[in-house]
Amino acid sequence: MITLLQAKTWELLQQKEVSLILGYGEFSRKINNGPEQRIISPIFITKPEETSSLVWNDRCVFNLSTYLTGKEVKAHHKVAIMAKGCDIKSICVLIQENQIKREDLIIIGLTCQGVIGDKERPKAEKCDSCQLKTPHIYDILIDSAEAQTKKLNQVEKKVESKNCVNPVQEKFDRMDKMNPQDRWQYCLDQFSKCIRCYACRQVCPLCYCEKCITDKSTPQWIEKSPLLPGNLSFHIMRAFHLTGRCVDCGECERACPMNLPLTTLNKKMAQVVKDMYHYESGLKTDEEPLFGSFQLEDEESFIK
Amino acid sequence: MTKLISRDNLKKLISKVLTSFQVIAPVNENNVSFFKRISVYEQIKWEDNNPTKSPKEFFFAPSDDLFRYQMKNKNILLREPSNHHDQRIILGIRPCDMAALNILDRVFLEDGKDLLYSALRDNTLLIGQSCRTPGKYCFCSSVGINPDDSQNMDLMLTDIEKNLFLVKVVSEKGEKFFSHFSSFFQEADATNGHTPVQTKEMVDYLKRGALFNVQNINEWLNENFEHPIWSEIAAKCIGCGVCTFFCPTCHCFDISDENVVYRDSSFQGVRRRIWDSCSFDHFTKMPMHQPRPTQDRRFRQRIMHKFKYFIDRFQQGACVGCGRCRSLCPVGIDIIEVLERIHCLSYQSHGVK
Repeated sequence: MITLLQAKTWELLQQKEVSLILGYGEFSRKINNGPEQRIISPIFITKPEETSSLVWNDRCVFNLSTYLTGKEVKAHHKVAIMAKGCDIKSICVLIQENQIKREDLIIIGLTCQGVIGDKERPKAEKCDSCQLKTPHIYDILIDSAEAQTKKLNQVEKKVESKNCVNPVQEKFDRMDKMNPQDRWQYCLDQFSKCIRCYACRQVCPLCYCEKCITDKSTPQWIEKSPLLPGNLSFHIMRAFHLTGRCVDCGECERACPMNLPLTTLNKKMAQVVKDMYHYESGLKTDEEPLFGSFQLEDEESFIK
Repeated sequence: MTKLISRDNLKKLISKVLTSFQVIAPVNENNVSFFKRISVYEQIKWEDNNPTKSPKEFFFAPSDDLFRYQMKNKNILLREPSNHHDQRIILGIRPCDMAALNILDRVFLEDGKDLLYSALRDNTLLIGQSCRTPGKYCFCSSVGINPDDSQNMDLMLTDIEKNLFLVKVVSEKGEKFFSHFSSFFQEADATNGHTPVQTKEMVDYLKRGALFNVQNINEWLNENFEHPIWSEIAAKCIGCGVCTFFCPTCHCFDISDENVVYRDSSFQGVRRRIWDSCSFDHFTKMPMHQPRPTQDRRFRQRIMHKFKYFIDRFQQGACVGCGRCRSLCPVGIDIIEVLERIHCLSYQSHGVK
């Protein structure tokens, strides 16, 4: 059966509207205790006949927009990308920051009822508070809501029966209740585990600097050794660089092999930005980025 | 020499040796399993397979101090790190991680000895454990490693009943340890063969055999430095260091000069050896030239190093089939898929061997 997604993407390539499609493909992975595992992984499609391998379901967790700033993808004159609402927010920031041009991009928006979480969560944390189940910016909309709603209803029931509070709020409350020393200690404990594989930075669509300050050695700004001082500098620097930009796609936390709660800092910063400047990143392509705009009435009470 | 030890006695033995040795064993924190120095036996988390992090870091640390330096009245004072280490025991090391350690031995001990590595290697007793069931992502049998291989271990534990281990005393070091703590062990019954416990999955795994032939892959790599599959496979690679940092055999490092600031705000410079990864874009970056400017070349390097350069140099491959890279890759790049493809390509170009 050919899905609407496959037909639309076939058309795009056949009529040479785009030369590359960034999408999700399903692959089988050999495992030892059971039948082959079906996994979803990013796929780069350049030929119309290959579009039959494109899929869209609740296991498509990757934020493909991270590839848009890569040299290999930029070499194409026009690219189509499959993106959920949360992914489109990061595309929006990339456009705001002049990293990509809206007209060079065809956004295949995906209606999404939430993707699965890994690490034993039925649904990704970001999906609990998602306002963009139908994307806000797109060229083509793929609506497969029905098939998804079915699956996720079952999952949601499971969550209810466990009587879970919204985990994000719970996490914030827990952090806010801590006294500053404990909170600092918590951060030290977590960041001391970092091994500096930079999966968080590499997977982040908004960490597109050609040369990260961490990799600079003449002079060295941030210690490269995976010890506490350098780890702290790296993660706090990254949180600062993402303030007013991070769209909470959650990819850093998903990619982290040490299971560090990496989005916590970013979410806190997003909350502060929202409270102080009523700004939310990734919603409008024509809006000036937070740090690129200034108004006289801007809150500055924190400058001491 | 084979002996027996019950789980209770193993617990007593470890509790006893904790007073005189540093004991490093698998633990699980934050849903990540890794080797850690323990202070009580109860910290150990016995799992069926190798932990997420390999014990590599206990011989070749993510950050090693090479020396410290300080300026005093226009003189530079150098200080070497102390190379005194307590005696250590690593408990529960799996055959794949042991094979990886043998590979590191060849790098760090042959042709010029790495002093940091050899000091740590000499003062460590390795108590291995054979696998009774294969891990989800393992493929050790495809690269010529047996899940019950005791080669180069000091002692080797094998499950034979629910709470009973067969202990193989392999090395001289192991014998010395055994004779010191022999009261904890029982004699093995010569008439009873003591069959190791093996799950049905393990039987299937061993029956399945190799998924690819390393020799064929090596030959294909000899001729295909340039090939379209490199850019095809590496297109989705994001260039992080997960595969190499978790690999028990990857051993590339960088040198970094850093400062240590003390409480009295005096400081010392320290030269450190830190893990580096061929996946990083600055790995081969030189002032005037970047020989690996794109991710497909960096990806090719990883495969070439393991299945060509290492074989050329040491007549053995540098992959032990632990499966960590394929289970942890954030974008789902699977080394088995890559090797199977190369295996098929080698058949196409040379016919069936």
